[in-house]
Amino acid sequence: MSQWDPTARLSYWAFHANRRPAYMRFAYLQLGSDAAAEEAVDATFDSIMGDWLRMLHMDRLDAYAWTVLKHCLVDRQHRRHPWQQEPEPMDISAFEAALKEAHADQYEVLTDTIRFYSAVSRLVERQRDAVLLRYGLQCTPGEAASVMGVDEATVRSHLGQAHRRLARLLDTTADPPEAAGSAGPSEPAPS
Amino acid sequence: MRRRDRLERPDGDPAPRSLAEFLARAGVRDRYRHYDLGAAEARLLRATPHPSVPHRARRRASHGWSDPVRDRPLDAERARRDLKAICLASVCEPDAAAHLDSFTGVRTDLSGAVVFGCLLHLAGMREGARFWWQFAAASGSAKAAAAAYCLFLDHSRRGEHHDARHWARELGRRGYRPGGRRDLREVRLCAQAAVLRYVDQCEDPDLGPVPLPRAGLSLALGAFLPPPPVTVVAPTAAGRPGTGPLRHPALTAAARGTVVQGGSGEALVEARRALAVVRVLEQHPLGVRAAQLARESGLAEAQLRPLLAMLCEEEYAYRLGVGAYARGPALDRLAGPGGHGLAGQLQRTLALARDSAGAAVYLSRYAGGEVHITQMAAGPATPPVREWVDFRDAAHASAVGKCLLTQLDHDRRADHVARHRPARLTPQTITDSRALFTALDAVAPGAPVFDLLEYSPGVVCSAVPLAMGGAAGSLALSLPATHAHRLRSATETLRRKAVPVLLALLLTGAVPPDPAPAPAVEPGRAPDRPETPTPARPQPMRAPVTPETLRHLRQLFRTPLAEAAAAPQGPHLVSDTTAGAAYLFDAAPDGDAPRLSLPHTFTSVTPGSLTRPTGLVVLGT
Repeated sequence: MSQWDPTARLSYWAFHANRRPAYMRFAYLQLGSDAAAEEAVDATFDSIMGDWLRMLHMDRLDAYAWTVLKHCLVDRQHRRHPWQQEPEPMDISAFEAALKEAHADQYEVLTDTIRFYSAVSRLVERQRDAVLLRYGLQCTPGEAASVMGVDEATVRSHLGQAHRRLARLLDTTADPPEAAGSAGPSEPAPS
Repeated sequence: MRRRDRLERPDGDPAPRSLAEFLARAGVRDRYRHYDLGAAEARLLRATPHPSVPHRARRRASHGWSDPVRDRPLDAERARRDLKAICLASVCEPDAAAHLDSFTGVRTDLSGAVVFGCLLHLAGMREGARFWWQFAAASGSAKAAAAAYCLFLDHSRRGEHHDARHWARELGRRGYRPGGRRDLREVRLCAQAAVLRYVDQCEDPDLGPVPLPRAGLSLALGAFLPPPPVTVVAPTAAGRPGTGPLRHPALTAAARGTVVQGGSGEALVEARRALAVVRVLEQHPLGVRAAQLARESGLAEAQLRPLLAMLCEEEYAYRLGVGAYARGPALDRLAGPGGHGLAGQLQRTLALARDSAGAAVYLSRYAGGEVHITQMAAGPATPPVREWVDFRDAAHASAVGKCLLTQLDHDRRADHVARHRPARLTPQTITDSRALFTALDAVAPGAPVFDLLEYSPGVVCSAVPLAMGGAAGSLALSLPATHAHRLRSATETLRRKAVPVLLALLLTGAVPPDPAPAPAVEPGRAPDRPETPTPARPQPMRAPVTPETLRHLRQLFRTPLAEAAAAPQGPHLVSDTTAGAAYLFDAAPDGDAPRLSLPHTFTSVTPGSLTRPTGLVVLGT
């Protein structure tokens, strides 16, 4: 890295600062521990550093970086010992979601989030990632698109397909309007 | 199932929760709101950037196809390349058209669906491709195992390793192993356009885009077949040493592990013959008859005739009358001071080559890690290539550059490509360095290299190798694309014109006249030749003094010694800027001023390392 020209170095650190929080949060949901998440994301950026000069010429640099992250995550998951009881990624998300708010009935919230995330776990992976980024991490579709390195329209179409499938899986009104893609997730549902 | 759970709970929530409520509750805590970014940066800086995880995976599976069972998780880059290769392979299968036609009819032909998916992927419709692969692979039929492999690669390509694992397990259960040729080729834009013309795009709310084939789609398959003469096929008559089957790259590496050999085969042999003729001509200042010329040069009549024609055209020989020849003015020109004589003569030769080939011609060499066009000849009827991208950055695309790269060993090629990233200049340009190297390895030594619209959209080029004193060189021509039909004949002419260029270099000593060092000068061996009258001093740097060197020196000294004559009285070194040698002159035994009649030795110097404005360098001791 010491031989890089200043623009390359600057762009690398800018990219790092921009993506690190989202990558960390996503990694935590997959791995369920801060240390493991940090290790995986460090490995990701380490690998990106080794490839950065080549990546600067890529059309979709962020898409490639995203695949590197996913590679590192799946690597960590494989590395676990079989007897080590690790929660499933979707359970982690469910607990994290339930713990977010102090609700009168914690268990009711937890049941809901578990139901929701177990339905999410049955989605196709790209829809799952989009849903996790959009509703789990509460990114806007534009942010989710840039993290995944795809067009915003692609993320919207993933989300649209995910809505329909989730509605069917959760046996609920299949009416999160397309606006749910753009409206804030905390807004009350127009029903 | 969830549905049943819900139904079995009549006392539960009477109003089912809407999806929006679920979504609103789905947000997780932000654990890293106050994340210490500085510490993370420090960690990254401390860690030496080791080869990344994807790299490790790439190395492990660097040969052939990636294996769905072993290579998990598969690196995205490698998956992308493999997917493209298997799509190309599937589309180019002989029965692909039949499958595709039957699929267009009933849409249940699984093999046809696989081919259609591959076609869509190559045409850039990645989502649609995935739909049809899923359609085929979900059948579980053995015919559609290729679709599962495509899906495994496609998911890996996007980093969707969980989904990829699903298909990898499926493939592992079936014991599927990818096979066949793994061909990495660029897909042309026109081929993609050809597919899009026969595809209707439908949109399904659940499934996403679903492209449907139109009748006649199989016609588009032809556009993906490997183009017969990509860049490196030599359109010469079979049986020439230049043509031949594909060589194993290791052979090339072995042959080119060292610096370029003395010359370019056939042309150099021919140039040496011409040199022999010139030598005989010089011994007869008043002229010599052809029969005697043949006898003294040891050439057959049939060999001599074309050589003499060439020599007369280039003015090395002068035809006195029927069957009688004398030395020509070109020899005096060559002996001009410094490099001017050589450059002038080469320029003449290039102009003649331009006129007989009907194309702009270029002389180039590879020096200091760069492509240099040293001289060129163009004219109003033969316009030169417009250098819209610096030739030094376009070695991967231009015939000149590729021809020079073929003469380098693998390491220097890799070094060159690393410094000059192959950019896409036209749709035909090879930008993948591996594909480029494969193409270069396929060029037989001495064979011409072609640039078919790879550098510039309106120009075709060819180049023949020309080794110039240990450095890679080439003689090239360019034609407007509308004259592409003349490329083959012009290249043949160009190959012939390599002979006078090499002759000029041989005459000035820029190319060593004999590839093998003469054995007479090895210190351990008794001097068995009469041409070394003085006892040879054991000098490790000593190189053979060939008659050629002597002759060149004599000519060299005829003019420039006048100005340098004042200085040297003792032994001195003489070199000229074009020659790769410095010559040591000693005082003649009879006590006169040092003369060139007795050059004791000469040492190898780098060409151009001794420079003077006059061209001649005289170093006193």
